Amino acid sequence: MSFSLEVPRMRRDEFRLLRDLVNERSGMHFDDDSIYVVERRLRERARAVGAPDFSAYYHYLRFHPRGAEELEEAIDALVTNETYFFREEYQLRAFRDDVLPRLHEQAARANRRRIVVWSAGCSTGEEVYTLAILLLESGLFDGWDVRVFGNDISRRVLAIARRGVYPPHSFRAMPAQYERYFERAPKGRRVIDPVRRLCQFGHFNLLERERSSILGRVDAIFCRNVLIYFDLASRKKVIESFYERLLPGGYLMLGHSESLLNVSTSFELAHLSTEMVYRRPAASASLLPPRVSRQEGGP
Amino acid sequence: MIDDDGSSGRAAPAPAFSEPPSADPERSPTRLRALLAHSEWRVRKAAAQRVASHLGEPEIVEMLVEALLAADDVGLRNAAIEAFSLASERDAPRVAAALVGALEHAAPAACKFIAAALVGGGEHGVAALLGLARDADAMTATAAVEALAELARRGLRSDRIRETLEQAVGHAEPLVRLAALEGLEAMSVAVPSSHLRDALNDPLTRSAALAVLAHGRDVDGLALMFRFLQRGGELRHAAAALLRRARAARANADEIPVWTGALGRLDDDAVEALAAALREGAPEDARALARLALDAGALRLLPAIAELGARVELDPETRAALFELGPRALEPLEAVVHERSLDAPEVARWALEAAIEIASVFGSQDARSRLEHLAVEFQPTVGDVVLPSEPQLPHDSLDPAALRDHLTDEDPERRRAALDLAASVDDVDAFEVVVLACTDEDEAVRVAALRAIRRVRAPERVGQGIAVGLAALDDAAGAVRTEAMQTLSSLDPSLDRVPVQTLVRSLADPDLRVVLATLRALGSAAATVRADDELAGALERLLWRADPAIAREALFPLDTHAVASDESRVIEALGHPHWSVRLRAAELLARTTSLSRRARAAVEARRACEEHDLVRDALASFPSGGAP
Repeated sequence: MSFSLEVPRMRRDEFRLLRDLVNERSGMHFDDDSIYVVERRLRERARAVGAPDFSAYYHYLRFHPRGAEELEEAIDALVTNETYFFREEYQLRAFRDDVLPRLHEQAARANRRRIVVWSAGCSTGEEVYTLAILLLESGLFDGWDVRVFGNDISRRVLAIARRGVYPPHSFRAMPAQYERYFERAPKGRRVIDPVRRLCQFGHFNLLERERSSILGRVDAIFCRNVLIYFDLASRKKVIESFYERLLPGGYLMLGHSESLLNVSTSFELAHLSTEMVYRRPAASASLLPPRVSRQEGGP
Repeated sequence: MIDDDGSSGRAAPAPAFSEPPSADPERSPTRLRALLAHSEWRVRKAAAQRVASHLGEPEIVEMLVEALLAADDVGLRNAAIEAFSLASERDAPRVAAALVGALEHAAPAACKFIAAALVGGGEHGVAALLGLARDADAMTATAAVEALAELARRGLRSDRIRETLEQAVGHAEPLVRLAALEGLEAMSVAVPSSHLRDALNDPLTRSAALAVLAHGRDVDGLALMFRFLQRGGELRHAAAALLRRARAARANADEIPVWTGALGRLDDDAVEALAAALREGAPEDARALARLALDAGALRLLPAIAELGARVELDPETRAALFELGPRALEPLEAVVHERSLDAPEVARWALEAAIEIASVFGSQDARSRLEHLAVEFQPTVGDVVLPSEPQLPHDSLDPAALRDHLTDEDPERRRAALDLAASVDDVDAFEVVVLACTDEDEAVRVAALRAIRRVRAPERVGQGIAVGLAALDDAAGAVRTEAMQTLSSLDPSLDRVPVQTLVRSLADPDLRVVLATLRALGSAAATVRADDELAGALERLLWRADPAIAREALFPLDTHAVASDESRVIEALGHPHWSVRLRAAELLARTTSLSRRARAAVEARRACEEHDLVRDALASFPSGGAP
């Protein structure tokens, strides 16, 4: 491969090839208008591997022995990993005030002193730790087996998540009452051990159903601002796997701009005091609000 | 002090060299020459050493050259050669120059003596020796090759010496071949096994060739070494060579399957030879071989490994490999206690402590109690044995809470280490965190998690463990998929719960380690698993498309439970293009107690056309029935 400092503009055919490859491997989708965004974000990667143009970069991703590794880097570059503690706080409030008591009740009824929450597409981990803090704060699960699991497709962000040290801008939306869950660290603030202890991280793509089955059944899933990157078919697969992972009566929390509209699903809408979320139907409907399901052309 | 009682009875010939008038009489060339020609060999030997310290003096060198070329006096000549060979580095250039100069006018019959003496010229004589190694006279060539070999033994390394020695391995004269092999061995050169075939087939040079193979890097060479170990004839040398090769094994992934396969199939003589090698070999080599043997589950070598463990400290990896054997190791270790408590109590104690440590984690309470009683019973001979109240592992890595803490650490090494040290994962908390660790972004952590799952004992966890293993077969990393297959085989030895499609897919995995792990799993499972048509087809394809090392593993022992496709495959393998596969097939058929008519016909047909010596030998060992 010849090395060039300047990678020429991305052509449409190159964009389609790269887009399809990323979609094939990760389920993520970029529409035609995204060509400039994709070009900007991948230019640095192309330079990093010495590709003279995007065709060569595509070839590298496809056939080079390090291609799979580089594809991960490319996907990492394409995805906006921006997150912070207590993001979309109104939804977290509803989770704390409405969902957690219901989960506590469901588990206690089943004689189960255990709660597992999955942050699907956890990026740098702020959401995982946020959920763990909320679980501790609720006081409902003292002496219970509490676990919060976060997964992501990017090794880089998972390494940050594990480190648990964050710069000031990660705390921009965090209410002051939660300061005590952090301690000073050389490069920011670190999540304290009692919170870290509840959290575990894993590396897999949400489309990998077999891998996600390793989680077993969970009480709640947070998947916020992740599905927007998937095309419709991939989104459907991911939602189906979420359904499989949830215990009956378990909750699915999506980003405020996301919904299960246009996705056939067996989820029901659950009305909370300030919010509407999705839920896998429970075995017994006696304490549940009336079922409202939205299915496109469904039964 | 060199004595001269004047009893030689031989008249010293008049010296042709010059003699400085003021020389110390005791150091005069004449005097020294007389001593070199003494009838008593001890005097000659001492004289040679004295002369060697004077090789800075031209007249002494001149005298020695003359003595070297003295036609009639063998003793004098040999003493001169010895004196030259003892030349210091400082004197080497002078010695080389003198000898090379002598070559120009020496009679052809004297060239071999000059060649032998050129050892003393060090690197300054190499050019002349390289020329002499190609001499038409076999004795001159022999002497030159021997001299080059001696220089190699003394640490002189050069590509030209190596090339000359490699060429000399094919010399018509057996002594030249032998000298060349000894030189190559001294240089620790990796010679392709194909170059050594003839030398291995010759009883005179076989042991030297095996020693050279110890430095080799090709898998065929390793297979040959095991062949000699298993067929006898040079057991001791083959075992010693394998011991030296063990240390390099970990760096060559292609070799591991051969080690594992062969070490898992040793017969009594091979076990004894390897045990002796472990006893006698250098500690680092012995540790490496012990590690390979433990990884291969070669339980028959446990007694020798116990001896090694009692003699030298085993490294942590080797200890972990012993630990990983689990309950299988208990019986052999107990046997060591019984057999060695009198003649080697330290070995018995080591074995007992290892058994107790393993039993305390993997064994039942009965096993642990039995071993503790053994410790009391043998206390008078083996002394006090440490009885752990809990597994001897770092305490903060044992309980589930501590394990969970470690698994949240940002350092993947710590996460991996915590999983390696997690003694038991039956506790529901421990099991779950270990299961989640199977999705860790670090490959080594995922491998360690799968390995930890193998330690599950509670029946309700076994099913979950199998589900995790099946999911892990989709992992992007070959090492993880390999570990997944090993975990499945460990938790479900019969492979009842592993779909056939999964096994077929694993047999076609691009990573040969996965293929090998699957073959091992199939080898341990009941033969009926392999009766499935699709699986049999996949095994057939492996036989003809895969690396010979893999093809060999696709042939299973033909015991009484073997299925028809197993036998068919072995019979077909007799016609495989690679000799090692044909050899494996012949060995398997030889071990069968009764051959089918079809198998016998195949053996006969192959015997008539087989060209490879080792395979021919194996086929020749067939009596009319089956096993030799």
